[in-house]
Amino acid sequence: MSYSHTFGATRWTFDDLRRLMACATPHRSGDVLAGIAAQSAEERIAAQYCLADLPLKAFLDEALIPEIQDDVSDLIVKQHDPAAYAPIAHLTVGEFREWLLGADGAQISSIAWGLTPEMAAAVSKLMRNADLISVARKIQVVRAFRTTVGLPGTIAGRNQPNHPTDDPLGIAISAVDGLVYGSGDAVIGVNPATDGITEYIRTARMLDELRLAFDMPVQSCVLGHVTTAIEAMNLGAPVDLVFQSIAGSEAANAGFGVTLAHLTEAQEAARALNRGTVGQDVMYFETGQGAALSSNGHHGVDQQTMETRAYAVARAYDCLLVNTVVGFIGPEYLYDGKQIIRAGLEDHFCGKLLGVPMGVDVCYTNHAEADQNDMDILLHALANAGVNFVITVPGADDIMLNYQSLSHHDLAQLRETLGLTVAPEFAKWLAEKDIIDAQGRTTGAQTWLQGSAGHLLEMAQ
Amino acid sequence: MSTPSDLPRRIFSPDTLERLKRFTDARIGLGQAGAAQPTKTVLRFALDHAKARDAISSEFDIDGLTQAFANGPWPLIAESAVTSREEYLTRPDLGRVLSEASQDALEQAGTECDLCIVVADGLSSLAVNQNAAPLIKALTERLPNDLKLGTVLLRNGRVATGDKIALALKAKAVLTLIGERPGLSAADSLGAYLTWKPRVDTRDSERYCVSNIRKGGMETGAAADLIRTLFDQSRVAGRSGVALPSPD
Repeated sequence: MSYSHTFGATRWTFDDLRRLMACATPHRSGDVLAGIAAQSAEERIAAQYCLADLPLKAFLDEALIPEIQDDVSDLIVKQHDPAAYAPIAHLTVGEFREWLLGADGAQISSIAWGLTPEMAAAVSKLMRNADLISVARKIQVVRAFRTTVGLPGTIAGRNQPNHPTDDPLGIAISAVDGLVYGSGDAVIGVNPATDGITEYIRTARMLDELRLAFDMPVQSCVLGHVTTAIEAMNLGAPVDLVFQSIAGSEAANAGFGVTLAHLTEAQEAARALNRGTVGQDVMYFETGQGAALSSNGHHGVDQQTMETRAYAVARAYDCLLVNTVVGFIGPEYLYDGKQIIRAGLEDHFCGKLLGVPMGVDVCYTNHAEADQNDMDILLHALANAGVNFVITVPGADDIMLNYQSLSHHDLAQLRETLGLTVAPEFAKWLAEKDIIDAQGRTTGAQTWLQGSAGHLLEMAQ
Repeated sequence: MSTPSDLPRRIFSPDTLERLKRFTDARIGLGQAGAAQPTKTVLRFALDHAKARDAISSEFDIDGLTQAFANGPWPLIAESAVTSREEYLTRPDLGRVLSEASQDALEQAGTECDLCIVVADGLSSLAVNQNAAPLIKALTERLPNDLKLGTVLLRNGRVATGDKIALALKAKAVLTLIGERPGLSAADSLGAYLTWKPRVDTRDSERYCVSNIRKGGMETGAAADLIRTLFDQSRVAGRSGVALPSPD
């Protein structure tokens, strides 16, 4: 079916829903690279006019990627709950934007399983950044393992102590550095430099020893491949959270070497270990706009819609954490700070709308037209939007993945500026160790830190 | 109350911090001013980022690099289908193919050779300007004397552009020296990719890669030794890279 809109003497026509969505999406270098972006600024707005008048029902009638070709499409069809959809069934996409702006959090959460990812993506394309912030802020998605993540008034940190050779002591020292600034309540999560089973188990054991030695209510994660995690669990490794990168189509997931069956098997194995204390949300997923195109699994669909489809995969599992790695992919997908900021807010909004416990890796690479000032703006916008967690590394410099994320200081400063706190279980521990005072200010943590530094040096000898 | 500059010492004593820093290059123990970083560490980060940004926009020194081939063979000059630095960053597909003019020129040059050395700016002309000439000198001292070499300087190129050059020149193998994406710790790393019998659709796993070639990283002499070894291995095996050839 084709769609059209007329401005004066010019009639703009879009051949199908996929084309309409691609033309309506805000300008993105990745969609230009894919050859599917609007040819002009006016064509983009014509597509947005069309989209505003489109009934939400159109997304149930016309699949962007037919389910016969794709198991993610099949999952999306199976997830759709007609009862949850009923309150918004009569709305156009434009009316749905207005409904979201007027609704309260409980009303929005009640329709989550009535929405398809494509509906969430469509309405986001008609929303300004302020809309994406104000609607997302109303939605709470709270999950738990040893800490509770996503409570209002809190923002958690993933402490990311990566090391280029996976040196256990180097990782431990970096992790402790982050704990001093109050980062680690989302997870202490290490990206291994080598995705081998030996390295996976060694790092998982070290992180668990660190947790027990300091008596910390935190969860750890080694961000190896899901099949490595399954093997490690079979070998008795202490696995808290299972990680996997996921994307919005079967072909793109195949590019990551992962199937839905792998994820189900991993979740069952991790739950069977019964390691959580306040919850059993055992999965951790990362996503990011452009991932599907980079593995040629995008089916001609725009990168923001493909990203939103990945959240259908995420919400099929008991996730503690999901984050978009928004600026990691490079300028051929998100060119500059403006595109990275917009994409980060879209991803967070669409994830929350679909009921996903959404965090963001606020980040960029050196070849993107972006710097720390852009990250400051995105971080503060996301905090206003109620983001569950962000990622922090020492001095904003990830020495293994060679990109810039936030510094531990950025999170501490944000919490101080906005009066946000850490996850309650972790807050209690920080107070006991005198790392953060009653006002949430980092104290420098002299006593605890001298002790732990001594402990680390003992480990070295 | 301590002054901000005291805070790093409150967190780790200087002696402890120095000992811990032996185990990681991460920016640990920075100290705090309020909740934020001290001025000194903010500026240090800004300097490292500035160097990386400058490296990406640095000028490819074609005249200087030509001198590296003073003992021959005189290099041909080529460019990818990309027409600006911005397009280079956003259109990797255009960066992987030659411009029509360069394609024609190289085909007409038709210098059949055993090994074509392509020097490409990549994401850091700085890396190429500083390291390519000494590496090529070290390489020519190590490669067999009877080897017929071809040489090309390539503007706005990517690794796969080297394959297209080799095909146009009918070269048996291609060694592409290219500026790597600048990091905060080094903006001048050169990468070297050796591809045996390149095709238009060569996979990355079918190349040998030697990376981080720079002063303070892998020195040019050591890199040249390694490339010579990989060259000999490829010549014996008739292929490069880690992937097994598909059965045919």
